[in-house]
Amino acid sequence: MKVSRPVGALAAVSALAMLLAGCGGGGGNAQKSGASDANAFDKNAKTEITMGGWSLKMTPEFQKLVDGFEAEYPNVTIKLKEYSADDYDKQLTADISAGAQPDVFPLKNTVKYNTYAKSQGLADISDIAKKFADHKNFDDSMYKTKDGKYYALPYRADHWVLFYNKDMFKKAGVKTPDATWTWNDYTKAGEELKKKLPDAGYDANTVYPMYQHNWQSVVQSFALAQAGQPAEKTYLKGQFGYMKPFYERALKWQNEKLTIDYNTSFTNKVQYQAQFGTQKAAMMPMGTWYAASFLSQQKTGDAQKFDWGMAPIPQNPSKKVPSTPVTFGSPTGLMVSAKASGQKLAAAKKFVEWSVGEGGADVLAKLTTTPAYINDKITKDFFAADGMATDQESKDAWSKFDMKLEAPVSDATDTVQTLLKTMNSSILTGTSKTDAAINQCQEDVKNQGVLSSE
Amino acid sequence: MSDSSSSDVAAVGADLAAVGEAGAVEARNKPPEPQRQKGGKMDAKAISHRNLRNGLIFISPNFIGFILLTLLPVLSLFYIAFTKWSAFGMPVFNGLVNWVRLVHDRIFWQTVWHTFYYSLVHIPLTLAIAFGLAVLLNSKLKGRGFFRTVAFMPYVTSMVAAAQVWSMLFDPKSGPINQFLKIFVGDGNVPGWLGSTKWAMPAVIIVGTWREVGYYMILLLAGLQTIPSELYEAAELDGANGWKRFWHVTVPCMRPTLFFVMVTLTIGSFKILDLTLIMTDGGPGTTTEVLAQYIYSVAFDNGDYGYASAVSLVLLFICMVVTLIQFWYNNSKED
Repeated sequence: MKVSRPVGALAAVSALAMLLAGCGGGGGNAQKSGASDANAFDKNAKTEITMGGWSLKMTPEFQKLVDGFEAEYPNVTIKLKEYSADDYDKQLTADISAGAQPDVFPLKNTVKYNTYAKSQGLADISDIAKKFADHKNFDDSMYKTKDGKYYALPYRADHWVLFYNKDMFKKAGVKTPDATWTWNDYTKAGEELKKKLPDAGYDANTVYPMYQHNWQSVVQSFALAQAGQPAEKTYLKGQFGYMKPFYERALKWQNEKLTIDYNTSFTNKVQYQAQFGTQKAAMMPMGTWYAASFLSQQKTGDAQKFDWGMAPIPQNPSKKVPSTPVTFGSPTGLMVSAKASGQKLAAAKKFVEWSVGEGGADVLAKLTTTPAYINDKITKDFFAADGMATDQESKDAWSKFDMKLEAPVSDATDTVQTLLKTMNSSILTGTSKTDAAINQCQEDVKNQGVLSSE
Repeated sequence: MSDSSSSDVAAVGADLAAVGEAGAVEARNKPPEPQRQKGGKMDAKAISHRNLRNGLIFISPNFIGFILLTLLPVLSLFYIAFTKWSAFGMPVFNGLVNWVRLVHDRIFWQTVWHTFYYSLVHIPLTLAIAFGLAVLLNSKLKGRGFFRTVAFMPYVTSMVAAAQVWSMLFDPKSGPINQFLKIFVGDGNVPGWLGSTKWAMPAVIIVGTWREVGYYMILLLAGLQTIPSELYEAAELDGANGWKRFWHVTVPCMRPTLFFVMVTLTIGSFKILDLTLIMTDGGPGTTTEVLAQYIYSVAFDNGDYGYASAVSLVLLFICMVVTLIQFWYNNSKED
């Protein structure tokens, strides 16, 4: 009598997709310019394209990019289509499978890139990628597919740095983080702060030296980026032994109460913004996107005013500290619909080219959003924001880094990430010992049979 | 709460069942209405024809919706379960690959076990409390309308809000539940609730029971009101006390309602999803991950619709078998 809810939803999506698959190909085509070179962008032709974005009010970057582009190309109008930030990939999947995707839309998470690239819903934009080849401060290599094509280019590239509260360090009399730090230095500073913070007037019950957020990437992606083995030999082979020392440190931090433990943070849904913003934690590894939300929270009063900075993320102690700090990130890309053609396609590509290049980067930097394209001018713009840290070390941490991907791009990534998430919570809740959880996870990945296709 | 249309149908069905029973009683008490006289503008055949046509038109929106959004997808599920499909393009047939994977998938078997664990505790608990409440609120109690509303309230509360509040109540250190328990078992022995692998599932069951008791209480209440008071009077004359009246009058008369509630409750328990998704996200580890949540995560998080369909079929199969057993048991008792 009753059909279970996910089954119903799943089936509904599938039925719709099947119905719509037959009548795809609509839209877009009507605007064929008729010119011999369909790919040439005609600056003077009136063109309207659509762009996808999530939570437009909370995320002004989409509107700002559109405004910036329209100012330069007044004959092109870009209409924004709003998606939900949390369910962006689910909604976009439905749209692409129905052939209803916007002309330009962001790739929120690299994990999904392979799936989209194979969906036939994306236009090949290798020609734009060529224009950025070998650029000093712009890396698009993560979007190069196995056959050498590009279906997305990065416009944002947040990477992880160490946010720290200069006031707390100063009052406690502890040396602040710098580019030489390994995770062992991080631990030592934490232990020192634990002792000295109460004497400096901080409440020992609620204030911690550090805050390790409960996302799996906070342990796993640093391990993947810094352990020194390429993902093809570890992650994509279902081997996760390299994470062990990183988990042992994470357990040590929560056992010594240097950070709120995983359980409390998870079940109480602790907001990392509040931990750092209200001076409940002196150090916090976090993505550079946090700088923008921190500044806006200071304006609204959700975060307190204090002296702060960004330092390069601590490095793997068992390796020589590299000259350029190794960290991880998950670039946000822009993709073009395969349904667009003619002048629409040309305008969409032009918009992507402009957005990922210096024009878009400047717009983003002024919003204190970290663009993928960085040069001295962009760095200056970013740090000119009111309330931004101004020291040289913060600038270096923001602009000089060696970024690895949060998780490698492959068909199996989604499933492996789910199993690794389970492993993360099993270890950090104390449900199983580190070795047992890693072995179990390796076994589970093998049993899912998803890596064989690699 | 965005319930799927199928559960709405079930709810409506339940209401209809209750109304039907109540209506039957009413009909018995009323004198039969005089027959409509023949020889008007339309004869009986034309009227019944028109009624049929109008009836069909009235139910068609729902029925077309059911066919398009429920029946066809469910049928396609049987095919998709044997394919590899990422929702892009057409599903690619891959034979028994999904089913072999299923057999070796430890997480899947864990979620099956968790689903049974939840159901086996949740069903009797909810049934007992709902029945108790229904009997209590069926008696001539002061302010019983108020209490009925209070008991039903959790069912209409947003699960997201309720889960948040319960998470606070369950907080091992500052939560009122543990503050209270401390008085009896001492500081060191209070459960860790949502953060503990042992106690997370009981916590989920408590919230699940709290939420659904009101709904089933209303169904049972409707059933109780169909029992003719003459039966109680007769039993009382024969010297039956309260307990005997309950056991020999109430329970036998309630058999059809109890059976209906039992079946609905069972299916509802096996497909529980939102509760664990919001309260624990299946954690800690995978200790509260249930089948429906596993299907959700495989399909929508991993984009692996073929495998998710295979797991869905297992859930469908489990629900069917359990329901058939209940029907068989019910029939054997009635004979």
